[in-house]
Amino acid sequence: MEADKSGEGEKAGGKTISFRCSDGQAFHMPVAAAMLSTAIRKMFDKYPSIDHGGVIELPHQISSGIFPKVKEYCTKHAKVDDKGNPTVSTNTGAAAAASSSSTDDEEEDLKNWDKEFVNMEVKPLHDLLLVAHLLDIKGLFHITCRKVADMLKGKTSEEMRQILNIRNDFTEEEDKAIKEQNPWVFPDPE
Amino acid sequence: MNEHLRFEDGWKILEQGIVKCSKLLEDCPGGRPTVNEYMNYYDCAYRMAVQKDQYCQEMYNSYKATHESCVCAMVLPHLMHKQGDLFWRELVKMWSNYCAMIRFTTGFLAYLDRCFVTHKKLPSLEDAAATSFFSPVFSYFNNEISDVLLTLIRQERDGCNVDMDLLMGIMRGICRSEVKTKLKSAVIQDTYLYYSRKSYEWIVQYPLQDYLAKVQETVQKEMKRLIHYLCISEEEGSGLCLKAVSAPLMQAYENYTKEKHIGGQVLLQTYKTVEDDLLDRCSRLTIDNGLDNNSFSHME
Repeated sequence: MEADKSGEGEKAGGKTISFRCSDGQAFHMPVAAAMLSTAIRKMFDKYPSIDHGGVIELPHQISSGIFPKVKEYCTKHAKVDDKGNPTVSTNTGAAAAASSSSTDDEEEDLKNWDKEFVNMEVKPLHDLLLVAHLLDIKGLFHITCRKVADMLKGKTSEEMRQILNIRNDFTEEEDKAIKEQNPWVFPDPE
Repeated sequence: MNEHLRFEDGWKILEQGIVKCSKLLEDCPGGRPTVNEYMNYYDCAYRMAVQKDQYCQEMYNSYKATHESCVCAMVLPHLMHKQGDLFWRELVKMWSNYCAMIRFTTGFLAYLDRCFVTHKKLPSLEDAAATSFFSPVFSYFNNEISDVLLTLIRQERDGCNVDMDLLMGIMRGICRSEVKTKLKSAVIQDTYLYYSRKSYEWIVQYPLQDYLAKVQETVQKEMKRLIHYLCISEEEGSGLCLKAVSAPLMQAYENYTKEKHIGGQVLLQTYKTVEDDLLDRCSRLTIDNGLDNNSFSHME
């Protein structure tokens, strides 16, 4: 498998960590970005030399199809570029006071970016949510859960099943009994 | 690949990881799992915790049991037939190695700490691991460990040079475990005896006014000491101080004044003011468990 091209020459910038998905494809991520995962951060505490050429084999749930999205999110939120260099200038003194409004703008931009980022099909969204949960990436988990909640808001149980691709395994009798027991959930169609 | 993982199969993998890490107890070089072994154990625990038939409680119980059996097999033999300083040095070394071991093993089951433990309000994996260490150690060596800890506390109280980092590393570990109550009562009892003896020295050594000032100063110092050693709240520290420090010192004062027929009412009133002030501070404090969560960092 071909390695992630964006990783080439990354070592020159900030420190990076290498990951390999179960299908053999490798990815490099700036340490600062990888630290957004609590699981990786705790591992980094135990193996400080992890960024000296070692490769972390990722669990099979994390496919090479979804990992680039994880990397994209973490890199954006860690405010570093692909090489691990900071993308946000750090102001000091008087400049810092003037930059407080620009910080608010950055926050707003990031929120909008997040909204756009999770605009995807159910399957990749589901995969992304699982990876965020597994690697304990709190921000990513939060926005993916929110997106799923928004998708299901105001939908009937049948519509939810369609969105989430869940087969209705109730018998007709069970279905009827549930509707009778909970009439407030199933209003009569006008 | 996402098929159901039976507890027996999953735990076999995790147990291998814990047993591998237990080599750290004996300073063996092969005790550190590789990064990818670590990730494999983490994934295994995660899968068993999130699948439809999840095994969180079983993993938590087995985690405690496996750690305890490692301690019984590998720590207790090192402490056998040792006393005093020799026992202390070995205990410190084994606890330090154990802390290195559980840095990895708690990492394998980090998902349990994150979700299950919090949800069920159970002791964290580190606290459970501390119990797995100190429970058997206290069962087998109650006298030795109590003697050595109380001796060190007494030495520190008397101004001797004591390695506080080592002492506090062990004390905080015990305070995270379920053995804490045993230790607390031993420390309180020893403090009471210490000040019972001191009271008879001081009452003849100092004029009564100075004696009461000494009592006040001692109560303040000892309260800080108990809070520090037992990782308790200020409120609990105040209460214990009244029992273990004020009581014996004031008992000696009352006995002395009765014996000498001294009308010490005025002086006693002075002391009562101090005691009332302490009690007043107690009542205004908010309750918290006073636990310091850095017990393990001491030993890393």
